[in-house]
Amino acid sequence: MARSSTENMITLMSSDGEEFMVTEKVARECTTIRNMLEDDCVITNIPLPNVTSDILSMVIEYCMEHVAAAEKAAAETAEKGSSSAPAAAKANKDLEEWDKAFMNVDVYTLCDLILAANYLNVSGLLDLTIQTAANLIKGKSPEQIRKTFHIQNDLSLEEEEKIRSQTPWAFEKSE
Amino acid sequence: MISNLPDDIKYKILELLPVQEAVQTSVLSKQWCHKWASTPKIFVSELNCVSPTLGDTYAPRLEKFVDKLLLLHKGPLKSFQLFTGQCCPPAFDQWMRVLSRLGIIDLHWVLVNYKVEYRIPSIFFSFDALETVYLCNFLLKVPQHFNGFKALRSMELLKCTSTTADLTKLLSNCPVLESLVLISMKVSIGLKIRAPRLKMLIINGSFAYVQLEAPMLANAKILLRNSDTCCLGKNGGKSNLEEAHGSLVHIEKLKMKEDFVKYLAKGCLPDHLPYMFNHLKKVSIKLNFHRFKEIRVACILFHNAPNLQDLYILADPSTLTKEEDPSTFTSFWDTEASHGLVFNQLKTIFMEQYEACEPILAFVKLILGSAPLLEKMILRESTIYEEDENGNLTQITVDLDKSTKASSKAAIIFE
Repeated sequence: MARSSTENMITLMSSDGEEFMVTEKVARECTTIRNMLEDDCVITNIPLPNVTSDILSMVIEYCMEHVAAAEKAAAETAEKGSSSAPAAAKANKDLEEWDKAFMNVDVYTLCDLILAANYLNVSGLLDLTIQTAANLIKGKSPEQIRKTFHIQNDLSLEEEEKIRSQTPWAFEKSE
Repeated sequence: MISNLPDDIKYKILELLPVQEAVQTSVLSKQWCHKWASTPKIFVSELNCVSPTLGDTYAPRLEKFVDKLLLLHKGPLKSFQLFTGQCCPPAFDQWMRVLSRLGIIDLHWVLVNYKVEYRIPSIFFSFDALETVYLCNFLLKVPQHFNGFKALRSMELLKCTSTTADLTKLLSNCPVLESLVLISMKVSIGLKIRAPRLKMLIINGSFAYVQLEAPMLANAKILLRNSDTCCLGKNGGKSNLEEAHGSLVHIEKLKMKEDFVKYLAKGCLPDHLPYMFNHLKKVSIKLNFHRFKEIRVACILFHNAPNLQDLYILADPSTLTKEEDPSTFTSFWDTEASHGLVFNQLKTIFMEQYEACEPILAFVKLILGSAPLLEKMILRESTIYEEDENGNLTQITVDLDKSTKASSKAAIIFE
């Protein structure tokens, strides 16, 4: 997609010193950055000490995809006067598919993405990552969940038994 | 690592799990221990609970679980949602008492397939932080000392039972109520709504009468059944139309379904309403074109809605008696036109169950002649009459094409 030359570019700097040039529109997908830009409109270089370069590049990829999808939808609406429902539904579905593929990551990356989405306040990405984490937990036994997320069980047997006995119904096995 | 995520993120993850699984996470590790007990939202649904042996012991075990759930919860619990078909009312009383201490903001309580309706305990009426409430299958009796829900913005009552006095008391003590949905109340009662901030209203069911005082109401969908049970005389000489619509100065979208217009047409109709509906852009109405009083009601509304853009009419086919002289309808609409009935902003009109009979044709011609911005007129015929009057159809189409059109763009589409 052609970008107008007048569009402001912002440099985002990751915790490990890597610089990412993005359009202001993409940067504004992050509410945290949008607030910074609104407070100080001449700012062009933003250090993000809490986000590593590999995670930041993924967040940017997500934001670019969603900005492009929104622009495409807006262009279609402007062209036809109103957006046609089937086309909009297809675009939505395509974006959902993209999101789903984007979430094909290991649990460490997933958790880092949750933290970055939370810190940068990208609500769409936060919802997506949290839902993905919940889906990974759903339907699993505690032991399976520990395995999936590499959680070290630091509870003693007695402690675990005590917790189970408080709400026995929650631990009944479904057959 | 997932265990190191901040608590508010852990809560968000836990909220997305079936409550039973959320509780199970307590044994994952120390960092997960009792985390669920601080989640601000709890949703208990029998639909997503693991139900190993659905038998007689199922409901008591679920009850015990919810008991413990509420007991162990550290609060504040903002949202509690319960969907049950099996738990017993004595348990509900206990839960309501606990909830009253937890500062609940959002309460959804759905009872399914209960033979006896459950009377909501008085303590419910002291939930003063409540902002949204959704109740299904309850009996509502408002206690004498009810201070009102001062923060309540949205109320939905489904299949509930109450009396006119109780419901009136409830509704007139929610000063910031913005959204109200009343669907299938079990007993037909009168409805008096005084809600200064109400913006959205959906009513569906049988009500003895409807009185609305909602000056901010923008979006209303009113579906009334069995208007025969609707009575008059409760409103001190004012017509049903004035009582129901008198104060709706901010209305933007108005849907009048089933017998509502029939209800409005009862009693002595005023010549005009004292207020203009200047914001009204979209009207959807079920109308019997063969009943003068109903079309009078429609006319009064149209007269006072100068900015109407979008009109949907379901022509009521239930009584197609053609006893009256058809020409009286033509002269009726002619008179309305001469009294200045115009549709200056109307862009689209969609008529369902259109029939090429005089009363409807007269109205259609009036629209064509008085709507300079009309773009589209869709007339969808009821299939029954298509067969009956096959021979006449083309003639009438030609007839409409010839009739005077105020808008050069207006397209008439038959479906």
